Amino acid sequence: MELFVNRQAVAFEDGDDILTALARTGRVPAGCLCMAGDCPNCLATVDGVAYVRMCQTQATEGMSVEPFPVSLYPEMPPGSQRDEVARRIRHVDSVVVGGGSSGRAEADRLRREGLVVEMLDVAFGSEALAVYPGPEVVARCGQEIVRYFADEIVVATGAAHVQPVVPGAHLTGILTRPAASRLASAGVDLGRVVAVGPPPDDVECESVTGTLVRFDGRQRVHAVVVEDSAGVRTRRECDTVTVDLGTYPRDVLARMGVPGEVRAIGGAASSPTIPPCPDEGVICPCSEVTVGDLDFVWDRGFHELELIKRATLAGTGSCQGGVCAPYLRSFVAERGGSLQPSFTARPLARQMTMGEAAAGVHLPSIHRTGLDSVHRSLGARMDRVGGWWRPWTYGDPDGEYHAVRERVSLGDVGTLGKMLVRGPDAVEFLEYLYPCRVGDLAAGRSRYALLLAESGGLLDDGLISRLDDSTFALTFTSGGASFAEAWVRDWARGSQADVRIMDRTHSLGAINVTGPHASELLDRAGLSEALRFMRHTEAVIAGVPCRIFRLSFTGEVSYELHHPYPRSEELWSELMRLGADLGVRPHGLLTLQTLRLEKGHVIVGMDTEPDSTPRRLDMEWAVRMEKGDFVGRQALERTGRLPLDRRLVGLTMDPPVPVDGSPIGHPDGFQAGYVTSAAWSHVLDTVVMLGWVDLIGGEVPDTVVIDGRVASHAPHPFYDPEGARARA
Amino acid sequence: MPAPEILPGVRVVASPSSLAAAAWPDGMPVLPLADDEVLVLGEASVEVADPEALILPEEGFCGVTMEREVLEAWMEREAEWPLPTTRAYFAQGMAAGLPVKVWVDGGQALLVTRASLSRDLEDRL
Repeated sequence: MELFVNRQAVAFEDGDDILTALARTGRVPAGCLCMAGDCPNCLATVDGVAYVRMCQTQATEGMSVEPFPVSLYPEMPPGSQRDEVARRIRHVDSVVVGGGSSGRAEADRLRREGLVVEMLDVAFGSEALAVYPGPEVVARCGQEIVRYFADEIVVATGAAHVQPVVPGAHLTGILTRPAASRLASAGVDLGRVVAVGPPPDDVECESVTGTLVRFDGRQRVHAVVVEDSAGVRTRRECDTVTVDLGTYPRDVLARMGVPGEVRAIGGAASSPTIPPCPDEGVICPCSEVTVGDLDFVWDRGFHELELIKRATLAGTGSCQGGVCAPYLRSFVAERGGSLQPSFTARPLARQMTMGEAAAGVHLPSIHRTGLDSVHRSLGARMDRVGGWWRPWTYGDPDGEYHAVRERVSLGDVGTLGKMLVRGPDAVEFLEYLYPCRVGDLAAGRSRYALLLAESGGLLDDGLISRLDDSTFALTFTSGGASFAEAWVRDWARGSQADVRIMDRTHSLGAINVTGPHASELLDRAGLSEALRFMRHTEAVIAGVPCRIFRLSFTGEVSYELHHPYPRSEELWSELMRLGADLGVRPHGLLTLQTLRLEKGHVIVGMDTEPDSTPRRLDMEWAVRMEKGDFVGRQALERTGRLPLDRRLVGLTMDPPVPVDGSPIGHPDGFQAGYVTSAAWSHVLDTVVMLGWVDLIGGEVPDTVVIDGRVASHAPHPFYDPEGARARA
Repeated sequence: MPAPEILPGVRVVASPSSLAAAAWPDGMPVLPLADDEVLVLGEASVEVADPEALILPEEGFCGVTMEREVLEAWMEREAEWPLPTTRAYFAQGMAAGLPVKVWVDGGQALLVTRASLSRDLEDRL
């Protein structure tokens, strides 16, 4: 059987891991090898997957192996890491990580208690990669990623042997004691072996005692030097050196978890060997951090382990502190006089491929209105807005604009938040929720309403429509609908109002028919009686049952047709057919932005900030302070007594249109605010804007500076300020 | 896997006590969405003892009918929460990044989400 190392054939025997196969040829990587997955010295790109530990991976026929040095990044394999990886989710009582004697004993004990236990061990083909609160273990199991949710995680990963940090530790031919036993038992010829510390089992060797001083050699170790307690140094020539410098708990997975959810046992819970702090040598081979580097940052005031880690990057490499952690702690203990706990462990404990990281992950879901396929068939440029796919433009925003202002146009507003509130306390509850009057609203009428926070800031806006004595239909902005629903439900529950609340946002589609010929189109479609501004009614339009709201966001006559979600296409198609000779065409959001800006309508979140009170927005007309208490009232009373410090104002200037967010300069030179929305107005032949401006002496300056050009303060609405067109 | 289809039904929001006492039509899935909200799938006549109840036709949900084993295998890949093990159950939560409702009766299962997420569900099945 053969595998290929850097494209050269290497024979292996049944049961060999890759590193053992290499060791048979004498071509092992440099540095002390642990054969236990703890050190970073046997990393390779295997069959296109980087950061594979050769000692942990079974050799297979034809396998491609490209070892790379620990301190270098491997070349990104082309394409192979984009493969999709399957993901499963399992729920068990306990996960035991580690299949050694402690892990097996604990798993048996838990099973005897009747618990469902999953045991993970790389030897069984399942490798724990990370632990998260929950608790949750993410594991690589064969070719798939499995997320285990459990009541408890037991970490029984044993203890790692401390690696040597002395000059020459980078040479080839150095093994931990267990690694030497494992290779020898596989029949690998280790040559002349010198053991520093306890000798490995079943390996013929010369044993030396004393403190490890250095390894000698060019690329391969030729000798080892130790020093006894009297300071006498001994040099032993050899082909292989085995070291046993004590053990350090493999507790990184336990430290990732939340105390109480994760429990370490056996070697993973053992007391660590804290080796003497070395005078020289590479402490962290992954990031090539030397003892000198540690001294450098220590002398500059980095005296905590976490800070030293950040300053030097020691412990942030491939082995995540597997080599350096004991030495970092001994360094800090020696310099600072106290032993600090190990640095914070964070996922991952092992490298994973991009495919594994993305396993089972989906892009955020984006809602589609019932007209989504219609928009796409019309060639609309679709964009994600407020959690929905929405048509930005159908390719001709100017034409779309003129259709609204001069003829008739359809807009998809199915994204609006829609809700029904009903019950004996409905009026009282809504009077408290909104700052406008609700009780005096007659059935069949609608009212524009602000939704305020307790701070008086604008949260959302929309329409309140009374259906009958105790039933109201509410609308909210598309992006604010989810929050508004939670807000309404929260206040209803908190105030113990006797109301029923039904969210209809996703149950209903909505089409806005807008333009000077909108009434004519609705008449053709079945609206038998004229509907006055801010009224609503039920009617069958083009064969589809609708609730029709007469309102306006565009500045023209507008009707919102709320209808069952699955019937949107049918309604849209019939309206387009009936309005063909009227020049009907759809308009997208880009056009809507201009239309509403000409009317000076704010978009919550775009033109507002959390502290945007109705006073600052110049929308006090939408607040009835003479009525009873309502959410935000106390804040409005309090802030109303203070001098007005800034205001959302209308501005006009010559083109080009400044970008949203452009600073607004005061004539005296200081920054006075910023532009929130700007657009070229076709009908007004100027740039119209909304922007926040600081007031000086309570006044808005007549002119400001935007993009180095003069802009004028202008009252808004800019277009049809009396609203005659919308009410026509 | 078939594409999700609109699930016509009746949606009821009423006092929890009236919902608990209501007699629901035989043979139709009754999905308790919340303590004060029920979705009855199918064309049904529904009455509850709450004069303020909101009872409306509902076409804002879509779903896919499948065998129980198929659904549970999909949920094992896509849901972070465990399904009940009883013969019949209703459960709801996130799966495959979507808000889903699961109705199981014996060997049959129905997977439900918002109609506005129908395409996303189809893509992720």
